[in-house]
Parts: sequence; structure tokens; C-alpha cells
Amino acid sequence: MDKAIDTILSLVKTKSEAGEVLFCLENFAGTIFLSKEKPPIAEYFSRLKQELADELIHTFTEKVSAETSRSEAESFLKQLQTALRNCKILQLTIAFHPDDETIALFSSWVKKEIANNILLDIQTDKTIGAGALIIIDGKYKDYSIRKKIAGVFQIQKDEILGLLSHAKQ
Amino acid sequence: MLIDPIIFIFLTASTAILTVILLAIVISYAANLSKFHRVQQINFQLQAELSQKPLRLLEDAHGKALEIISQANKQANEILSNSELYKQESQASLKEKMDSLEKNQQDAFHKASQELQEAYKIILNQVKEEDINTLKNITKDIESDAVSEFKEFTNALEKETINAEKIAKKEIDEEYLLLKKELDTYKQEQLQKVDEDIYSVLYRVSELVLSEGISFDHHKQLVIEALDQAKKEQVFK
Repeated sequence: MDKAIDTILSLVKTKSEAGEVLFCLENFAGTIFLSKEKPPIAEYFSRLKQELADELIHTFTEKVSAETSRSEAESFLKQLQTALRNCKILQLTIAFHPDDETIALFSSWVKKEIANNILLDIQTDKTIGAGALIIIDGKYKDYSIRKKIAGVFQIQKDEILGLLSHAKQ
Repeated sequence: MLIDPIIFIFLTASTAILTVILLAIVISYAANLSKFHRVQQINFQLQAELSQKPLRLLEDAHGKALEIISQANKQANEILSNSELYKQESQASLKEKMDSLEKNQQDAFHKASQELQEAYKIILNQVKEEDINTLKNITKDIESDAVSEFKEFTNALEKETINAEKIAKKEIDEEYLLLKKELDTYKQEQLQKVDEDIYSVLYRVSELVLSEGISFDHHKQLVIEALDQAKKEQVFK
């Protein structure tokens, strides 16, 4: 894969971000090669986060320059769009609302430990207590504290009920 | 040809016979006719005689009848006069006898009615006394019957009441045992339910306490640990 694409993918953390990027790329593709009076490239990616936007602007400024042909630029654009659409989605259900730093932490772990083309889809569910529920490629795994507590209560049910009956007496 | 003479003879014989018969008839007719004339003559004579005799007879009879009638009238008048006298006498006598008879009858009726009244009074009193005695006897019988029946009823009622009491007591005891058993069962079920509810509450409280007690960094750490665990379990492959 093109290194530029790889770099961009490493900066796209979540599924929603990927959607935003694709939206911007659609607009970019629709106008950059057609209209003579085109806006600055930065304007196409203004809605994105700074780091990602900067990378995209830098990349496309290079690609859509006098040295590169239009077909090359279009090809790159399509490759980037395809790469984004082909990314795997890792659905992560956690017990709290993550901030950007936390999302970046999880995303960097995933891209480092698993693959660069994995996007996070973070859901919040307080009932799991802590930990996470992971869904990827149709596989489901429960690593929440709720499950651990349920396991403890199930295993030690008799002991707990014995304690209750002692307490009643 | 033999036939013709026979026929001739036959015809001749028959003609002769018929002639003879005819002659006989004529002769008898003539005789009868003359007889008839004679009889008719006699009849006319008799009629003439008869027409004269009744007149004389009638006259004789009429005269006798008149005589008889006058005699009868005379006798009738005598009888009528006699009978009128007799009638008056008999009427007077009848009236006298009727009066005496009426008086006798009145006396007899009066006497009879008095006797009847007396007899009726006596009988009425007798019947009255008999009825009073009968009523007294009936009342006594009714009283004794009522008393005996009431005693029987009281005894029967007492017996039934005791039996009913025993049955009721038995049923109440059985019902009580059944209810007690049901109550115990219910109590056990409710206690078990309470245990389960407490268990659920403990479980939920544990969840809440643990989740609330965890810091934000610890949460992040737990997520990373979950991802690590998933990687170890090759979930991402």
C-alpha cells in the first residue's frame, strides 16, 4: 500500500472519522479536477481534525501539483477511498464516554498491535461496569467486569446464600 | 196325404168341441141373465117395502123417544132439586166437620210442635255435652301427642347437633392442618424469593459499587487489558 495512504489510515481512528474523510474526498474529487476556479485544498478538509486534515492537505497538495498527472492523482484518490471503505471495523463497547485522548490511545494500540486498517466504533454502555465488549469480523467477546461479577456470584452462589441465611438467623 | 185327413179330423173335432163349449156358455149366460132379472125384480120390491117401513119405525121411535126424554127431564129435575138440598146440607155438614177437623189439627200440631221443641232442646243439650266432652278428649290427646313429639324432636335435634359438632370440628381440624401446611409452603417460597431478591440486589450493588469505584484511568487500563486478552485469544485473526 502506498505509504501516504498508510499514513492517512494511521491517523483515521474511528468509523465516523472515516465517513467524514470519505465525504471530504468525494467533494474534493468532484471539484478539484473540474472547476477552473477551485478553492484552496485546505477548505475541503476543514471539518476534519487538525492532524488528519494537515496530513490530507499535505498529501493532496503534493499529488495535485504540476508534477503529477491528473490520472495519477485520481488513481491515488480512488486508492485512498477504497482503502478507507475496506477498513475493518472493531466495535468496542465500554462503560464510559471516552475523550479524544482515550480514543487516540485505543486506536494507536489497535493499529500497532493488530493492523493499521482497523477503525474503532466506540459504543457506551454503563451496565457493563468496566472493561469492554469486542465485536470484530462477526466475533463477539465479553471482557466486562459485569461478566466477571456474574461469574463470581454464580460460582459462589451457595456460599453467599449461606451467609444470607446466617444473617437472618 | 195321410196327414190331411188327420188334420181334417182334428180340425173337425176341435171345431165341434169349441161349438159345444160355445153353446154351453151361451146357455149358461142366458140362464144367468134370467136369474139376474129375477133377482133385480126382487130387489126392487124389497127396496120399495123397505122405504115404507123405516118411516113408520122412525115415527114410532120418535114418539117413544119424546116420551122417554120427557120422563127423563122430569126425573132429572127431581134429582136436581134433591141434589141442591143435599148439597146445602152436605155443605153445612162439611163446613162443620172441617171446622172441627181444623181445630183438632191445630191442637195436634201445637202439641206436636211443643213436643218437638222439648225433644229438640233435650237433644241439643245432649249433643252439646257430648261435643264438649269430645273436644276435651281431643285437646288432651293433642296435648299428649304434642308433648311426646316435642320430646322426640328435642332428642333428635340434640343428637344431630352433637353429630354436626363432631363433623364440623373434624373438618375444621383438617382444614387447619391443610392451611398450616400451605402456609408453611408459602412461607418457604417467600423466604426463598427474599433470598433470591437479596442475592439479585447484592449482585447489582456489587456491579454498581465496582463500576463507580473505578477511576477513569483504571477504566482505560481495563479496556486495554480486554484488548490484550482478545489478542491473546486470537480474536482479531
